[in-house]
Amino acid sequence: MSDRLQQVGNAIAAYMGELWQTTCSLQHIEQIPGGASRETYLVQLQQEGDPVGIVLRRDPPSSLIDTERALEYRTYAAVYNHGVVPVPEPITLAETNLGELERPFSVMALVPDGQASPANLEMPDMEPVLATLGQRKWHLLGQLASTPISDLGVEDFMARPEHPAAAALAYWEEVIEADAQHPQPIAAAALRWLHANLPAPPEQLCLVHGDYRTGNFLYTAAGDITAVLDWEMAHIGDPLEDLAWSLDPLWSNQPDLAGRLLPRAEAMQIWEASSGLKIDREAFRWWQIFASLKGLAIWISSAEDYLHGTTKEPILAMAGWPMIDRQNRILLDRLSPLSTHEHAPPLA
Amino acid sequence: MIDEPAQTLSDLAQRLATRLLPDLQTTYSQADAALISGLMLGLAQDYERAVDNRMRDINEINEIFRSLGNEVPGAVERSAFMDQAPSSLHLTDVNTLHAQGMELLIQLHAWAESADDTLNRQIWQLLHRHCERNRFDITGG
Repeated sequence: MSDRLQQVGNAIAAYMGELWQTTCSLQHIEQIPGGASRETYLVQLQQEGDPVGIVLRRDPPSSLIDTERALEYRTYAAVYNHGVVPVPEPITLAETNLGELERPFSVMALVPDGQASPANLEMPDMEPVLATLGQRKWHLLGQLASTPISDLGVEDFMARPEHPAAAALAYWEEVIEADAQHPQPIAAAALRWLHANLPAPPEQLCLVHGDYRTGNFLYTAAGDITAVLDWEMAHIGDPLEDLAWSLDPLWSNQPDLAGRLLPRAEAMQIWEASSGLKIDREAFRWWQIFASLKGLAIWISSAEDYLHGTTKEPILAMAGWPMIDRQNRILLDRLSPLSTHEHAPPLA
Repeated sequence: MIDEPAQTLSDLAQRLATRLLPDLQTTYSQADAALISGLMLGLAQDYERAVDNRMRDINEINEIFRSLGNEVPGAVERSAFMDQAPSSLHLTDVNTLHAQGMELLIQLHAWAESADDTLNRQIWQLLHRHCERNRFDITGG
């Protein structure tokens, strides 16, 4: 174990001991790769002789997505208390009196089963359960879409947009304007199309996860989902937003499969059955273009962060350079009258 | 002068991925090394083509601009752009002119969408070629 890891591990053990008013010692700590918005550590503690697993999420000096940690933490708590989808149990949020951890952090209970790797879905032993996993994935999303926001209690800390599509578009347009390092002709074309074709607000608002995709949930070899993670972009919005995002071609290396799991038409049917909502095809076309634009905005922001931020985390550059390229080709396929649909299937 | 810089970057990326990465002790370090190796492959691709790609865009933008009459909005700005060449072939200088051309192209595209279908299609064709020549293939990392 490196000195840096040991230092973080000892610091969180001391902090949790104080929080729990008990003796707490570090058994093991490892940092999880790929955490673009927070440093994420799996920590095994010994609490008065008993093993306790926690996940520490600490602010980095520079982040892929400029998000509010308190909003994420409170969202975890709301979803955990309601139980609509499985999430890790939130334990504490620390924004002051940080001790040796120096930067704000949150702590969750470790979910013992499951892995998040999208690439491992292609292992031969996963092939028989992909359909089951896909069913579960879009069933849970449908459940979230149909849960009234008042039941979740998120209105206490989240804004309720009058026009979710307009609000989401304004937000990501501003990100592109602020962070683009050079002109973005495809994003500009997408923005013009989105402004010209804004859908009406939905009949019912819901809690939008904001980044619901393969890679942001823990799955088991039996095809179960044990936890939905990464709620840092959660907000109140249109139920179609998460569905469109989950189906973006970026999240699959096979054009006919949504999120490496199911044909997209099947995913949509599962979502409709689970949510009890009927997909408005015209509005859904808008949300699909929006999803690709939002992706592009995130990658543009990431590239800017790599260029001007302090951490120089390689994940920021990886999200910035090749992802901008791929998302541009997806948007081009979706908007251009000359599209051959090499990178994105026709809009559903 | 460095001989074959793009190939050298690519070779270094491969060495990092195949020789050094397996010896790293934590999953986090291994993932970091894999990312760095992939990014070096991306840099190798862009090192070789970056100036050429920008100049091709600039030439194609000029070609479209030359075909337009003064009745199309932005004629003065287009004319000023067409009179320019990058102040050097350093990437920074080429990027400056490229950005000017792309800004004018975006304005023209916005106009063409509703006013000139042929021009609109020409611009989309340019964007297809622009994307294709800037495509990354870094899966080898």
